Amino acid sequence: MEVRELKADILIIGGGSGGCLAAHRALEINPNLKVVIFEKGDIKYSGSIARGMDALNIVAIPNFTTPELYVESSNLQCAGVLDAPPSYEMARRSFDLLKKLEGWGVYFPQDEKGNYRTLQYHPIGNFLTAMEEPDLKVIIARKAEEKGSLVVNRTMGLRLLLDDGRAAGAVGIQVRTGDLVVWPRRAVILASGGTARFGLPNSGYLYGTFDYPGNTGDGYVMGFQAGASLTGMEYTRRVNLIKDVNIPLLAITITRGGRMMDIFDEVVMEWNCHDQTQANQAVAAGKGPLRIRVSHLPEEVIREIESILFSTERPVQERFFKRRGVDFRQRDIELWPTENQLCGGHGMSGLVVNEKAETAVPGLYAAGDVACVSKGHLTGAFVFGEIAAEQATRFIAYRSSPRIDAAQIGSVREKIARRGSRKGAGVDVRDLEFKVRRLINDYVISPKNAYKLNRWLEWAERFEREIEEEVSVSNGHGLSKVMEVEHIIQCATFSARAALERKESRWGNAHQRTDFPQKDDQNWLCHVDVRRGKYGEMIVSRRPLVREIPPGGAR
Amino acid sequence: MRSDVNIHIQREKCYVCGICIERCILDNLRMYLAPCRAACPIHMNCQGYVRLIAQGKEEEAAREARKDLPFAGIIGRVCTRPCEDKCERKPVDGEAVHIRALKRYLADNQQDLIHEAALVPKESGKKVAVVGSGPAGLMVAYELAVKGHAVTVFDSASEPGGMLRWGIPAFRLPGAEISYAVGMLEKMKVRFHTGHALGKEMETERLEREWDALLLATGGGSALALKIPGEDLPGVYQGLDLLRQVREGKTPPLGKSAIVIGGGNTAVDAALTCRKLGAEEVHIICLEERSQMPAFAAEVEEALEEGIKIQNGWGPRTILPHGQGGLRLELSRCLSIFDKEGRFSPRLDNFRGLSPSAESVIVAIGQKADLSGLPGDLQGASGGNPMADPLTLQTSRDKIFAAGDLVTGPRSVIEAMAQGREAAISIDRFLQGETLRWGRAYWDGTCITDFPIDRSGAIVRPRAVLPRLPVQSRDTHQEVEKTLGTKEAREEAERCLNCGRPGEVNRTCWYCLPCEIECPVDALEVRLPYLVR
Repeated sequence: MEVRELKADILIIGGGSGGCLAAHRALEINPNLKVVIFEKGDIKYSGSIARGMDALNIVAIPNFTTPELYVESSNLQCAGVLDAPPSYEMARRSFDLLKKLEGWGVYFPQDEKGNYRTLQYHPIGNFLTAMEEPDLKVIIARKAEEKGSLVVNRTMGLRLLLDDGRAAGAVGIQVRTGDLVVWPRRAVILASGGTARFGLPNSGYLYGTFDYPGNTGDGYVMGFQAGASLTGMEYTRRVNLIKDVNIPLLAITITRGGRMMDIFDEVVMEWNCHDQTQANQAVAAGKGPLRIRVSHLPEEVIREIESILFSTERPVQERFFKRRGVDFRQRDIELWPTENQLCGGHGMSGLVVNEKAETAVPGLYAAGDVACVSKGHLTGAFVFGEIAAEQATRFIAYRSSPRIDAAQIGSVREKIARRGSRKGAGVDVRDLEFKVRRLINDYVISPKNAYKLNRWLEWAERFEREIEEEVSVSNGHGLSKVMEVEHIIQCATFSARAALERKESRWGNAHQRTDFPQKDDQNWLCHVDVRRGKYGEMIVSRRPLVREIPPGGAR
Repeated sequence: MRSDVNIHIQREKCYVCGICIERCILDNLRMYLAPCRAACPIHMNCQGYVRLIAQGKEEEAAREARKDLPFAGIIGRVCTRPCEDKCERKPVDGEAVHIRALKRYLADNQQDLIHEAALVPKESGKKVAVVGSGPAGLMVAYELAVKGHAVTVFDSASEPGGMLRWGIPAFRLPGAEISYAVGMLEKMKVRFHTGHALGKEMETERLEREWDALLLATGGGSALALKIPGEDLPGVYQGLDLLRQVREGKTPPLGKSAIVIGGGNTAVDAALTCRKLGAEEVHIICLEERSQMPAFAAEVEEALEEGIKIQNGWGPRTILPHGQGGLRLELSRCLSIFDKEGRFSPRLDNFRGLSPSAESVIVAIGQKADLSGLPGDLQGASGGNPMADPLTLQTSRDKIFAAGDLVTGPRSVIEAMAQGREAAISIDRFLQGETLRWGRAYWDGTCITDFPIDRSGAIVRPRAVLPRLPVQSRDTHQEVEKTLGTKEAREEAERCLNCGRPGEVNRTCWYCLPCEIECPVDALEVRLPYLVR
């Protein structure tokens, strides 16, 4: 196994939305920095926005909406469990972000008066701002590379290196060959996404997830092992999306007059799509599959819906509908609950960060779905990518290069060598992943109870043993898949432990406990954090909310 | 196991550029590598440009060829063709696709694209000295210039080209082709200093001090002497000397008859040169039997076609004067050439015969490493070829790298270029403080090379034959072989079975569509995995 080493100033793990903006921002501040991006896929299209996004979900447009209103709205969405400063900071910078993207050629439609097109996606306030840019990822990846960052594709982060408790780089693995990469760094930004491959989708196809399947919670695990705290891991999120193919469409259809209906043709969602409660209740009561109907809308609205859905974000749905004989004018769109995911952007799961994108580990920052800026979506990824870069460049200005502990690298090498050593007729990695994710469905997601959650903990230990003793790997690709499954298992354990701790139900089907069916603000209006103890054990604790927006914003 | 259920490739359009595989964000696609491409030392996409010629897309074909190789005009004439050896066409009608001729066809007809100077990015501020301007040196110069490094190429001879110029006759590789290559490199700011020999005009130590990296590519060395009595008689020449003089425009007085000793390509080229210079009787005398001769079979045929006689299985003992200014060889039969360990150790019997007399005798029995300019620690064991790490081509001194015949002993032009490419990768990494050994396998080593080939649609068609100058018109400077015509090229390209392709192997498709979008010819379609559609 060959090991590649390269020194640089800042390492960014993940070349998606957060990572690309972070890289560009760091080099904008100091063009002489050596910035390296680990990217598990190929950076040109990788991540959740492979074919762009049809909106920037959160923009506080001056003279229209305010960051304060956003924090208020977000508080409602998060049932009170929200730290105000990071969300405030994100909303405060959101309009500048829009302008920056616009300057890069990203298209935000405007009306004849020059107003951006906004829709209500939140309990209060029209923050969702239309953006029609299938090439969004191509644009930001090019910006990051042209500014001078070195992109290392096909490389997955495995473990952060520490120097006296400070982030000192990382060890990664080349996902095709299984070779290791070691990057000593003076600061690390984790931007590796959430755990999209978490629960098993109803199709049974491992990669048929709603969010980018390359996200397997690598950053959650790396951050945890380095000493950072995770929060909201009990928030196991699922939504009702296009059945079997798990593609989003609510924001585009519902906000334009589409109706979500149950089998009795009762409308369960109309005009506002932020609250899934009624829809989820209908499904739980057996009144699904839910359907979205747009056939009643005028032809030009249907055309507009089609033109957005078939060009941006997940354009493959055009051929999906065609194969199934679904013309929106005649047939409804069938919905089904997606698989569950852990995600800081769509949900509330992630590394604890303050408004400076700092984690508890000096020199370690987090941005995007890997961080918890609750429901920050794409805006959160972009803004916190920039914040992380600003803070990281400041941090390294006063720090010397870290010392690398060969023993830390050695232990990763040794583990990889063990994983790759059993070839031949053992358990196939795909079967392992299928079973792990099926059991996550059985035990870790709502409706939850102590019995199920504890069963998961037993299964997790069993899976770890099986990985050591029975799973065989035939090539570099298989080796990286085993590492991904290990991360998925770890994330499920974070989730189960946090869910056991939060003895209440909150956030609808994201955390619903049959044995504690009521919301309990008296005891549980707080965060539930998971962090690593001195002996590697998992410590679960409560953390009070930060409700105040710092005066004059956060600086 | 490849599945075509989701990812569908229109094989008639796909020319295996590999972009879909590189852009896939989930590493779902893999390359099924055509046997020709797998065999090529630089892994040229020969399948690709051949298929594009078959489709009538010659500009695209030239661009695709140029992606892998900036010297198609040279390789298209003199390559040893490991690709053709593995061509899967052979089981159909016994003959490979004429890949080399098709490459030459592109070089001759799409000159602007093939010889275009590559864009040189911002200067890196690093400078590299390349010693030797043969194929390895030229390739290193190109690959480093393309990365923005300042390259200066030194050569001991009066003009650049190395063995391309001095070892291969102009009737195989015109000087113009070497000039195109050098001219392209000069446009890319590569500088050439001829008349600079290592150990004479410049010393290794000084180069090592004054340059950021040093590449040694000084070739296979000097001609081997026979070490038999009479070798110093007037009228006895070294084959390589003869070839060099002809390139320099001189005509050594060979007379009307010549004997060439040796069975390799230099011997055959020397014999052909003698014929073209007016010798009426030319004999090649070599140790090997006809089928064992190291010279290319096609070139041996060419020699016979031009009336050269070949005496197989003889070893020279002495060169004797004969009559007025003539020479004769005393010969014995060759009993064996290699010993039990495979080392060159010819055994001759005791019979002594005499060759016909000739006015000149040309010795062309091989090369030995010429390490006279190198410091002792760089030379190999017992004065042999320098030690260079087989993976990185770095020598025992960090800054100094070596490539080509200097390292391997005499090999083919394409192998020298492949070494040059590897050395350039190492040097570039070295200049950036990067690890040399990591990730050196071709395409992460994840191509699939063992897969069934479908020959069912193939129609039997004979291989194209390149037009050649009639024997009586041939001289030392005109190319004997001409390029294919357009119709012949297309028909020849249509013989290609289109063996390689991308394919879904890992079943990790997220149907996100960049592969489809990036395909330059819309050959790929994502149909959705069966489980979700």
